[in-house]
Amino acid sequence: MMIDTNRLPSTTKAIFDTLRGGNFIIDNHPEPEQRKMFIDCESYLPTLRAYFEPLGYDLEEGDGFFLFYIKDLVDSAKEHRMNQMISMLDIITLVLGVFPNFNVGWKGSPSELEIALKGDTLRREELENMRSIKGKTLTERCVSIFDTLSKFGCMIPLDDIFNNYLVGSSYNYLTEFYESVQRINNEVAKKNEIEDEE
Amino acid sequence: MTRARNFLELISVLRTKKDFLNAVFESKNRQMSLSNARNLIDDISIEELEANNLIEIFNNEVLLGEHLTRFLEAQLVDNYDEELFDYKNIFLKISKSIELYRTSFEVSGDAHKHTRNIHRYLRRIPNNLLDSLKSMQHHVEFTYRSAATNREKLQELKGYNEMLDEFYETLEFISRNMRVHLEFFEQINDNALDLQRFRVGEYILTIRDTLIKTTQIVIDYIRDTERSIHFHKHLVELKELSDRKEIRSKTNMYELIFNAKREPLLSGLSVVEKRNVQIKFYPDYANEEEFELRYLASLNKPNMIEKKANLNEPIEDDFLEEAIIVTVDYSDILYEYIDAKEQEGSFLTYLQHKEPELDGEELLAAYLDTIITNSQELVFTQEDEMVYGYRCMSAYSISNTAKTLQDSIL
Repeated sequence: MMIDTNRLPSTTKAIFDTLRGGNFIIDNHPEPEQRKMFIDCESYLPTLRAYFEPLGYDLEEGDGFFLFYIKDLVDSAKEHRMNQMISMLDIITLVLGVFPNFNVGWKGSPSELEIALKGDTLRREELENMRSIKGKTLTERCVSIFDTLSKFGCMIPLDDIFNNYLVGSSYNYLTEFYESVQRINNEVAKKNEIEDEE
Repeated sequence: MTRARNFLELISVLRTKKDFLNAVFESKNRQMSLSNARNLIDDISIEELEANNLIEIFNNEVLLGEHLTRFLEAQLVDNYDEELFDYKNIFLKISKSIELYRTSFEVSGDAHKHTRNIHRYLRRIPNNLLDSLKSMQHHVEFTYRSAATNREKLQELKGYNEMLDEFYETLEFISRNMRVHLEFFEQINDNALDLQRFRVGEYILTIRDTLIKTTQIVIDYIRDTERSIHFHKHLVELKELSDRKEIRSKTNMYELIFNAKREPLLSGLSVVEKRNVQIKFYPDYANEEEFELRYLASLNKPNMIEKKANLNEPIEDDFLEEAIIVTVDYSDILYEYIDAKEQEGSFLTYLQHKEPELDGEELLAAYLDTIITNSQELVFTQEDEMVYGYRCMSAYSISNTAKTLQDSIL
């Protein structure tokens, strides 16, 4: 294989650094430089894939995003990931319950979440019980929710006076993952339930 | 000046100032100038109305209070408009006027009176259509926001979609009736009537266009909301299992993660914070033993994590569980290579010389990694160098290459 650096886009280093940092490259990022990286990833996908592959990173395309995949994870790392996805499940369930249109392109701020939760005792309690969320007050915990989503990469803080965040296309990664999680052994579970009742 | 303390007092204020309030309500934009208002009531009464939020004074204009305006418009205008928006009735009146026009024309009566009536009926239609569209939008915005659950919101959207369909039928009804009377309009050749007729036609086209777009948006919204409801329901089920600690046993989540050959490299929850020093490790996952060795080795490099450089300090378990260092930074070697002015070989040669233990895939990875992340410091030539079966471009320091070029020119 010939790795011809002249055929790579000028953003290769930025793409590599972004993805290697565990971040997504998305098509609806508010910054033009980030969107340029997405366009370059799309245009030079085979070349970039071949370039990054010897480094141990597989460049993969999702619905409006790119990210690196890595192989041969140890079980402890997978366990960590399992916990990570369970924490995100709590957060997404809460946010989607409060904002039914929470999806790619949605804009909102922690204060909007706070206002909504003030009148929703059940969900407020849910938030208080989330161990992965920091903060003592409702305001702090709402900020922590947005912060966690932002750290995960599916929300981007916008540079405006309202402290708004934008849901990036990377949110599709989470929806795809949770949609692929399905109940198993339903029949066994039902049988057990019937036996328990008896 | 007093503020009403109960309902009776408020009613009393409204009753004593009813003529003035009616005058403001009937005025254009529900407002009148302060000087005109002073002709109707005294300053104390104006202050009293303002104190009770029944009016607002802004820029020497007296505006009817927002809540009162909303209430009155909802009670009076909307109902009144229903009469106005009864297009069936309007076209019956137009047909009647046309009939009367023909009769009076034949008997040499006042035919113009009837064309004036038709003109008046037609003139109403465009504004009424716009008002209908706006009121529908305002209504749905309000009810959509106030809907508490996803299902209520979906219901509102479906209701809005039905309203749009009905409105589309209204437009069709108007177009159809305008075509029915086309012969009459052409026959009398009245410029004012033609103008109104064209205006109605133009508004219908524009509003129909808006309706088509709005309907598409609403349909997309309904689809997204339905999908969102379905997805949320699925998440709630998963969360219930998670709360009961059954998510591993009763879903395929464990298999999805543990049987996967590849995993996404994601940041977020794998940042470790210790003693005010935040360290991020790439990739986020790796072998624990390897990490421990690399971590201990890294402690010998004071520049990397200076604040943690204490060999005697035991490594805490939770630290090992959360994140792992794997990256070996060869940038230092690269900068050594760039700084070495007498160096004429390629960076790969230099790297092999400096790190003789590096071989095969590791060497390729280290080489590519360093040249990608520091590509601005290097120039690449057409020469090939083989690393682990891969033909890689040779990388040279920019300064050395410039020197080589200068030498060759000289």
